[in-house]
Amino acid sequence: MQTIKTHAYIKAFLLALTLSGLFGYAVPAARAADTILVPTGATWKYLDNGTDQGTAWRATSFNDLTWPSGPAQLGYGDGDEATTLGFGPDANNKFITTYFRRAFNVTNASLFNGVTLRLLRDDGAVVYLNGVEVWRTNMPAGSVGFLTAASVAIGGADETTFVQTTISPSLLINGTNVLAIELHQSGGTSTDISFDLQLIGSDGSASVTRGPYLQIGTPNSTIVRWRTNIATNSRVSIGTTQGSLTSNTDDTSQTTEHEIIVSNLSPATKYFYSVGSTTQALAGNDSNYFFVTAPVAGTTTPTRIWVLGDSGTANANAQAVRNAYLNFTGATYTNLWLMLGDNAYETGTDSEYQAAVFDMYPTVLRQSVLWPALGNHDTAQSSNPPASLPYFAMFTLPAAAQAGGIASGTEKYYSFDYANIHFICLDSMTSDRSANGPMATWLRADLASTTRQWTIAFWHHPPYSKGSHDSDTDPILAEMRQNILPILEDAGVDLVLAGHSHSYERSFLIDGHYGVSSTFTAAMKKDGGSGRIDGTGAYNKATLGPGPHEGAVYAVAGSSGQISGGLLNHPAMFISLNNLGSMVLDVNGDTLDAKFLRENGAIADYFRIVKGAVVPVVPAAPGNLVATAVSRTQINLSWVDNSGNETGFKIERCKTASCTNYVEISQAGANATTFADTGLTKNTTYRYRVRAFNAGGNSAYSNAASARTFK
Amino acid sequence: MVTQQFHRKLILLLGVAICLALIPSFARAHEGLHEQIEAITARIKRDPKNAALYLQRGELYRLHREWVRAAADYDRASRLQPGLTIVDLGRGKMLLESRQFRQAEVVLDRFLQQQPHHVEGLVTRGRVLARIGARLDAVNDFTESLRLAPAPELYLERAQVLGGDERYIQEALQGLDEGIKQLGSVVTLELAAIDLELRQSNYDAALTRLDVITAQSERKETWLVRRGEILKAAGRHEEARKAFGAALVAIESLPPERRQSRAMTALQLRARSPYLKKLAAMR
Repeated sequence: MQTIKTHAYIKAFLLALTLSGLFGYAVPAARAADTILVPTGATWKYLDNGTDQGTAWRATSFNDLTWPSGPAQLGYGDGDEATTLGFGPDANNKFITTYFRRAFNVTNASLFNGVTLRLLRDDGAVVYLNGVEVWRTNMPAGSVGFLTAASVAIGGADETTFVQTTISPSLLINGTNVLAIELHQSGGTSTDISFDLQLIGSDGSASVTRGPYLQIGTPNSTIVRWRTNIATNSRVSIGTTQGSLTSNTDDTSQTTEHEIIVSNLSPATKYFYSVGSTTQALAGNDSNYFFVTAPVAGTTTPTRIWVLGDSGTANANAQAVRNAYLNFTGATYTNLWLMLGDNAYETGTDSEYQAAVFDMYPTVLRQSVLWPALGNHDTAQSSNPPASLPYFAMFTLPAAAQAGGIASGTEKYYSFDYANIHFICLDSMTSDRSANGPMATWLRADLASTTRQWTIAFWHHPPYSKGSHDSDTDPILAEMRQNILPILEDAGVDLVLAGHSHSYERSFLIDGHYGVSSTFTAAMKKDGGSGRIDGTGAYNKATLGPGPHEGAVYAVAGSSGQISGGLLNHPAMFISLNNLGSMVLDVNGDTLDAKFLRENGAIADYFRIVKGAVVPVVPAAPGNLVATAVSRTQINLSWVDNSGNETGFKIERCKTASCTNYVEISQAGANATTFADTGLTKNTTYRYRVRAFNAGGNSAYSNAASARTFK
Repeated sequence: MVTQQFHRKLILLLGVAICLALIPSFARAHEGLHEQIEAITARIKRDPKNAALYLQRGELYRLHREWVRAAADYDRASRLQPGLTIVDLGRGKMLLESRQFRQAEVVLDRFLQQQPHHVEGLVTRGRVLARIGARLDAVNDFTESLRLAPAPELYLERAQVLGGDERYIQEALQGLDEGIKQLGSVVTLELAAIDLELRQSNYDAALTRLDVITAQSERKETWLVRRGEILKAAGRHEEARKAFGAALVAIESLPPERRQSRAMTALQLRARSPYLKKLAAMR
């Protein structure tokens, strides 16, 4: 995993290069409405013997029967090749040029109004279709020979990124067509080459290539977004009855990136919909295309939330986690879903998002509003990503408090309400994490404003983890813990979700732990049990609403795409697992049920938080307080504990025998009956009083007692 | 003499001990960087003419605050691939972080000459210029980057640079208002603007801004206390008392558990203390 992290980190600059347009741009994969003329992973003829093939090999009629063949990806040096090519006898003087050819058949070339060529090339390439050069990429202008090196070395994310161009469909002929490609190294010492290609014919009609997906769901509105292969105007049609979509929302501007705010909706109502242009619906108007608007903020309704962390691997792991959830939830609607960052590896490019998010979760995307957080891979490890970052381009997030909360002014961190839950998404990657920075300032204001019963916060870097990242040593994790948690806990946060470590780690109900793991004490456990109703019982929080310092559960759920182990022994955690999975939250009134759902369908952890269920009676006041001086600097107190339900005792003190300006100097735990007050001034009279407290409040005071320290 | 030597040795030993104590924590804080550097170094051995690899390793060295090694790698990347202008951004950041502001300015000038609309480049140079006291030039860079990518943090940073000089407080305020116009009524921008208004004794303007924040909040107690503080600073004591009183009523109406939070306790103290102190003084 370290290697992955390494590569990811150092790709930050390469992303910047990509975004600067130096290495091309990431592109979406072809979709069903297009015709795939040559698929990725196709079998190609190739010649890797270092010979100069001149120009004849480009022709359709060239005889390549003696060339070997193999499936793409072809290349060497990266370890991800389906066919490994040779580079000659000298690793320090590798062959510069490798040749590829593939024939493909077109029945009726006149059907195509456009042809898109997508190419994975490391380093440079020249592409010929039926003997005509149609594209050169990362190659110098002018004559290209078999010793001509590519313009620059391809590295980082670009080694796995397809670049694309469009070519004239008039070059296609009916019958056999031939693609011929010469792939050039950047130099004889370069370690790797890579090649794959996809050719897509389009009949010129519009088709949906991404989505639709839903953003900023409120009781009265939802944003519907989708992408098309060609620019069209936009229309979303909705209706409460499938097949009868009677209400249209249009945007007349021509675009491939469609974004429509559907408003004037009714709360908690199911709407069917379709997306397309004013002339045709391209997707939807069937039983799979619907959403349910959020209920009125503050009301209570059963709410299912799906939580994915570090899910962006776009591989079989992510698929298994997804399938396990879809199987688990069945007909139960997912009201909303959260992504905890690292949503698309390695560097959060548009094409990586296509594979890891849009192609991975199409059903959930079109039915449930997604609320994502920024991870380190989504910004290619950059702490100051450009505004053109794909994440910002593809997501519409409530910077202006469109869905409740207080406006943050940025899509990096935001809040929203759903039913009786206040969600807070923070940015642990790129924003100032200091206690008085803009994000913390906004957070305080936002928390001071909410009246929702539940507060769930989520971001990428976990405050507590002993997984593939260690919260004792990683400064980002430590800053979030030290600077942000006190704000959240003071406002009564209930659940904090994070990823980054590729594991599942779930805490007890805890409060007040802001140091390294060795400073975690039993007193910080508000409930040291399992939180399981068939175990030690649910975690009870007295207040039905934000109850400050009544405890929160912290979960690392970063194993939705991969697992990376680690010590997994943080003392704040009730359970730590090195398993793939996702979290499922069900909030219903005063109860929150959480599960860790493994990729194989097993429930590997579960817990419940109940709010307002137990509001203890205010404890009885302690009595018979006695103060006894035992030295020049110490007075011992003793009292009688008259209550059986106190959380602890508050000890107050003032100076002189008749003083009344008491100040709380310390607290003692439940059932305590003594306290030693040390560090006092000699020959001085101190006066004391004590009261018990619990979540229900403070008891009356004990009698006052005074003593004078020795001379 | 012996005593002096002993003291010197003691100081030296203490210094070494402190350094040794600090090294592990620093190393832990950069856990993984060593491995990343080793991995890139291995790749460089196999592909010694790959400029991108030197750039990548230079970035890692920069993060590890190994300035000399970072600089060497940046230089090597530039030599291998002179057109790789982005190297100068890394170099500029390194020079900023190592407090070589003048050199950083030169390098970033060169980078922005090639990529004049590079937001990160503009922000980095803005920070460099702010450090060398070229306040208005810094502001120009922040302004250009804000034009390209508006963000509350950057509006705040620009206002902070401007507000550092009393002559530019009005410009700082205008800049924050520009952000508010662009991003909406963002609480962080409004609060910064309130602070600037108060520095100019524009109490009514501060209160108007506070009203905007208050209107956004379902709970008002935090803003009522702030209102009281502003009114008190304005010498409008009766109104201040009323605001503090309203804040206390709002706090009292909260459930007891919420009332006892540290934030609410501190807020209560802020609401109570201004006039308690005055009463005490009168006695």
